[in-house]
Amino acid sequence: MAIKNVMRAIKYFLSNRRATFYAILMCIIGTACGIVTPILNKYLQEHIIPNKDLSMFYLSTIIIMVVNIASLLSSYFNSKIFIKSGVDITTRLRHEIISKNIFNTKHANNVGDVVICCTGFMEETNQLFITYISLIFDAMLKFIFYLPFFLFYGKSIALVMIAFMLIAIICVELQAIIVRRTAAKSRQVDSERIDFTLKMYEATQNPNFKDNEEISFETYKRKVLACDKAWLNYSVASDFYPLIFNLIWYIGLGVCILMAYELSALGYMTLAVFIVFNSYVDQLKAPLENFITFKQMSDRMGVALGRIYNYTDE
Amino acid sequence: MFKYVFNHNKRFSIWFIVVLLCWSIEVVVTQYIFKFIGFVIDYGLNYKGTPYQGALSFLFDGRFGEYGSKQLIITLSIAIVLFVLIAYSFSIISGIIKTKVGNSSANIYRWQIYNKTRGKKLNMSSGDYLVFLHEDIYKPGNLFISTYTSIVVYVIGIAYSIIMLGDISPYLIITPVAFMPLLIWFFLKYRKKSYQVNQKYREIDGKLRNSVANSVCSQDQNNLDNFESVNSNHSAERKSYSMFSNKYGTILSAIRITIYIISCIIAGFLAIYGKILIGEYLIFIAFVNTIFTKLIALLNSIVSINAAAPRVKIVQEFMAEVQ
Repeated sequence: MAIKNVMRAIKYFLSNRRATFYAILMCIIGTACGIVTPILNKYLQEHIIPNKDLSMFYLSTIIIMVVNIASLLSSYFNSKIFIKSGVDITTRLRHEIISKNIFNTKHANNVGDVVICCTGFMEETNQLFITYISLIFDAMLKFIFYLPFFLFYGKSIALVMIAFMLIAIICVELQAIIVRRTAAKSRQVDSERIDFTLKMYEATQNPNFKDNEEISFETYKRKVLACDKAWLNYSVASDFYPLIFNLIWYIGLGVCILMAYELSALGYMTLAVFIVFNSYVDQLKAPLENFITFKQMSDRMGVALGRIYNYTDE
Repeated sequence: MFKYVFNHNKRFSIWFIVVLLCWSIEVVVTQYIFKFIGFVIDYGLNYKGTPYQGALSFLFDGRFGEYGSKQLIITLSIAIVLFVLIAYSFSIISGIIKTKVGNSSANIYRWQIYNKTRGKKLNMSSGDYLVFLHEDIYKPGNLFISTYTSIVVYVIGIAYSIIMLGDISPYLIITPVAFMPLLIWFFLKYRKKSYQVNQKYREIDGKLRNSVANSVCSQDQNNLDNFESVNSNHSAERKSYSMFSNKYGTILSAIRITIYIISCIIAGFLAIYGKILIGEYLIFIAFVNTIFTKLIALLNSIVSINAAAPRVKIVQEFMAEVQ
């Protein structure tokens, strides 16, 4: 359900064909730039430095410069596209929520929930566009572009690394079940706290106010502490994800280093080729992490978007 | 400000030291990974590589000196995995401490606010009250445990990386040291603007919360009109805030790329003329990236202190008023 809500948000973005076209174009330029550097590094280690070839050294420096500038500009324009689209979409959603609920007394006791939908959740939706959807575009293209180079240079080692990547994804997915559960709990208690705070604000300003069943110091304390506990559980569960992922990743890399050592002793691989392979492993790590982060954020943001759609679809 | 927070949160000072310790170990561990990988690359390139036994002995007090190259590779693989385990475990521990301290610190203020403002008319709207109790109240605690510790850790990380670079070749220190003033100048130039943009956005964000709270179920067309105007202003400010960060981030990346390219040229020349080895060339690039990533993070933390200062002041003033 959560991913369905996120897909609906992505469709809002895709409906702007011009923005989508330019976003993909910028991602392609950025990704293509990333392919060049490891190959240049290999050439530098195998030919330029051992042969003291200064003219090629200058040429490779110019190429690195051009590639980096192109990558930087593509990233700048890509962010610009996603910022504009994301903010426009959230502004429209906010407008829909309020225009549909201003004359609706059904939510009289739910003001806190509407406030969090229009502000906190909307800010998360903004982040979804500005950060995560652009990352996922980038990650998809990087996988398509880098995988052939990764397989070409790594050969059998690349297959071992792919096996470890799959293990990492499965383990992180299993751990995501806990993250999802703690995120849902955290949102629920947070919304209750906001609702309570607004009621508390109204009530406690009355000069004759005395603690009662509905609003009291004990209730407030209970709600705040429940919120703190839920947030701590969520943060700890989320913090375990990089540990699990990186541990499996580096065990995989360790196995690959050992295999490369054996293969190089047999003359099937040189160290320079392994370094290029290692660069592509590094280049694939970020998109894979982005996929996982996107999946995790989708779980969290999908819930937020679901609450937003509850109001816009009325 | 630091004094204020410290006086009000004495019991957290011990946690400050614990977090500092966790992060410092993480920083040092990461630097060793880079250095170790670089040495093994050089060792691998020179199979009979006895000169590197000396370098490795230096690195780990001679413990690995007696091993052959295969054992070295196995040790490298195990060391990387162990380093990752240690680094991320520390990260989890410091994360728990930071969250707990941030929450406890905020709650001390919350309990006082509830008990001392009962029956009093507050000079703030419901939206501001919400922002105050849900966001601002965390600022003193977070600033104390998070921002200050990270500043100290970044300084340790930068100093440590520079020492490690000097260890490879004194020439390599030139690039990071020469570019540091440029980065600091850039930050000083943009800090003020960044603060203004941030404040403007926060202001309109507070207005939006207020407007939403007033509009829901009000059945008042005027509230709807007011919301439309605030919503449209919010949209413009949000765009300008993000665009500013994007522009600023791009300029920062451009400076980093310039440093990277100059580093490549210097290290390339040193490698061509045999002053440094290929592995050292690779770790040099990694170290330069680390130094500037940490320097940027350090300057960002300083900027975040400036951005948080008015909010902390609001909390201080409010608490003084309440007491």
